[in-house]
Amino acid sequence: MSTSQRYAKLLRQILSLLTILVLIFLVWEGLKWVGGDIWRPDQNPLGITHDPPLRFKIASDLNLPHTWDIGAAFGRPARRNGPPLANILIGAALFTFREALVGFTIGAVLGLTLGILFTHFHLLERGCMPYVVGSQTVPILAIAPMVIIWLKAGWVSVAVIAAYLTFFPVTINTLRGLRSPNPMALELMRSYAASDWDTLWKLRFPSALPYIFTALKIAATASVVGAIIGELPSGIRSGLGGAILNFNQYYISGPAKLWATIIVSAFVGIAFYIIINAAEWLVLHNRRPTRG
Amino acid sequence: MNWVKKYGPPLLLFIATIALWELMVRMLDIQKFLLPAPSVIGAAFIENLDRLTYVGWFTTKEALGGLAIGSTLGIGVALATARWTIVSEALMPFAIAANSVPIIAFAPIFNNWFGIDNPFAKMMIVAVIVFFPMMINTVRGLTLVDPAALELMHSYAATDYQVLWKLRLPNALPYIFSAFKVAATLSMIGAVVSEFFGGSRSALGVFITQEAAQFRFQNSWAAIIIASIIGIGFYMVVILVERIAIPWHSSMRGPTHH
Amino acid sequence: MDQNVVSMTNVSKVFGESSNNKTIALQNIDLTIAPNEFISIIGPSGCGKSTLLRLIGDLITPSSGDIRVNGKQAHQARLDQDYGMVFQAPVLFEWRRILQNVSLPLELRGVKKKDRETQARRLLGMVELNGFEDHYPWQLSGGMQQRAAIARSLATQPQLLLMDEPFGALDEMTRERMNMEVLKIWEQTQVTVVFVTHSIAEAVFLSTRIVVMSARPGRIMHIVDVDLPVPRDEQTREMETYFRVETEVREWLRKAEEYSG
Repeated sequence: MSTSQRYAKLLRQILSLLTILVLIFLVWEGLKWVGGDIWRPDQNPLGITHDPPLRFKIASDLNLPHTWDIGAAFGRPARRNGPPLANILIGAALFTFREALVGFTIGAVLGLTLGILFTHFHLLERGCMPYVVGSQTVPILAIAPMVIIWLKAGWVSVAVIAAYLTFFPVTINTLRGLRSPNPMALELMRSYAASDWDTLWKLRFPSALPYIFTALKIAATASVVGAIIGELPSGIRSGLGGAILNFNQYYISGPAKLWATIIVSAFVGIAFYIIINAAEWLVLHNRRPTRG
Repeated sequence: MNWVKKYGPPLLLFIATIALWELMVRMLDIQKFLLPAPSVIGAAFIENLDRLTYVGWFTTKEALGGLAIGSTLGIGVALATARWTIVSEALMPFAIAANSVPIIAFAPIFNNWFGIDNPFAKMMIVAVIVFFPMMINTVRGLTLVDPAALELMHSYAATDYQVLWKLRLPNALPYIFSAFKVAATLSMIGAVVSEFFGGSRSALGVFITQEAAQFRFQNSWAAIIIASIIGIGFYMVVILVERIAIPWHSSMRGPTHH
Repeated sequence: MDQNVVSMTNVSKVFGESSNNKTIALQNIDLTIAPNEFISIIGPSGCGKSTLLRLIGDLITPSSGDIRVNGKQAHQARLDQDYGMVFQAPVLFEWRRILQNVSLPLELRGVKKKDRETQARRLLGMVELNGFEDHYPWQLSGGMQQRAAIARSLATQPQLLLMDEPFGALDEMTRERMNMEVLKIWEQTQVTVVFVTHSIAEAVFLSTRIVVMSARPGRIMHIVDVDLPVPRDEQTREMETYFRVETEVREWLRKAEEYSG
């Protein structure tokens, strides 16, 4: 694909993203126009009064704050004389992201190691694989309360939860990827009397990279979710999980703040995903012509 | 004899772990209430069987409901948009991004909308969690068709509808099942965890947190085991259905040699 | 001292010996190959030609019999890198540039970067791929990729070259060009070549001797001497002897298809 084609595609993607955002905005406010609470002139940027014909419970100002209210909430202090909400949320986002990143890294390293070990030691694989698979049926998030209390270590225990959610997809995909080379390529290495080590690093591992990145993308999301959930029972107030709990408690007084927190959480998830995607492009873009 | 070879090692490891766990808890008294001995958990299991079954079923309904709604919508939207490649191409990055969002963060909002005790709130969380992977994978399955096969259909002057039914949809089935396996496991976990944000006393997740708060960890563990078993059950059902629905797929054939 | 590059004595290969479906792939193979010969192996599908090649290369072990390469056991020959192999597909690593692909065997033997890159460039020159060192495999055509694979097979300057239907996936014209290239390399480096092929024309054009194999279980039906002059060129394909040998091979192949038991 030529450069101009690539720019055209990027432009199309940005346009479609904007279109979707605009659509969401229209549906949101449209719902409130038709069935929300009364629009007061001092509470909307257009300064108009409007009494919607119907009343939907979901569209009330409490349940579905106006989009501009959510936007404005970022700039206002969350509590009396405090810093603007945006500052708090950014701090919380970085805190949670750090937990997620640490957990992600640990889980990824563990997954890679297991994948490599399982490829070379079949007995180990046969004994342990059912547990690796079984581990994922244990809802770690459900155990989160106990893990937190058990490890007592604050944000580290949250990172452990994130690691737990990461290691499984990485293990499975590393294993698949390490086994993916063309049999002829393996014969080639054998014809060179290459050691297992050389075969691993010069053939199997590079072949596995696309698979590993697929797993890392899944793990990125999972580790953010794990971090947020992990914060709930642990009483950690500095992260997004804590912020969600906090603003949920005081929902009546300011629903926009909760929505703002959720939007920031969404951004963290998406940002992590984009970072992994970029890393994937950096590592793999030489391999195939980009498909149009 | 093959049976022993296949199940032997994991079974051995399982028995060894349980035995070691039991031994360690008995010897090192410390962790007694945080990590109860298997025997204690077993006893709690039997003692609370009634309540566990009740709350288990309550949450299972939430998971199943959410799974049904989310997958139907996901597949439906995929089918509707696959026809116009421009639309699906535009939607895909958005769906993938949305998939990276921690949906669980919306739990409090849904609780506020539908009422904290209402299982429907949790059902909707599960539905949203399930929707995106189902939609993404179905679109992939419908669009990643062998170009040669498309040319063949074209040479038969097949209508778009026929191409959809006879080529794209069967092609998409493995992808759909693959996503469904993920969705099945996510649904139970999603339901339980969303209950952590608060819910009815009849819910499994609420049971877990409340028992943990009362330091009756063995009950929490027993509840978690129930949740796991149900989750595995979902997964097995999907595998079974998959075997019936797509016996022809290469993943259904016997093991290949490396 | 064994003068032969390859000598196989009473070699057999049976697959699946322990299970219920035993396949006798090769039976009673006796074959000696002298230095600088060009041997083609041809036969009906499933006759074990690729298996035979892999036995020489110690990629699989024989069920019975003895295989020597350069006077050593085949296993030792592989460890000493006495041969280079070209497969049906180029099998280049898609994450490495052409230069790094060609220098792979040297890299595995611990040759310093500067030395192995010099050697690799020289080899690429031999197959006329200079200028493509920094390209990635996908940027080259099928024929060019296979040329790179041939260059790679010569990296350790082996005395023996094993080629398993290397040009099967290429079109006719490219194939003929590649045949000329192989002959040129054979002349320049004086290697001994064992070449598996499906194509009678190719076998006749390239070889000094042609081994015709029977259908499974594979045995050597006949070895045809190709008394065509060397070096060969387009004219060779129009000589009387060429047609005669072709016909002879074809007849033996026909018998090979029917031969069983």
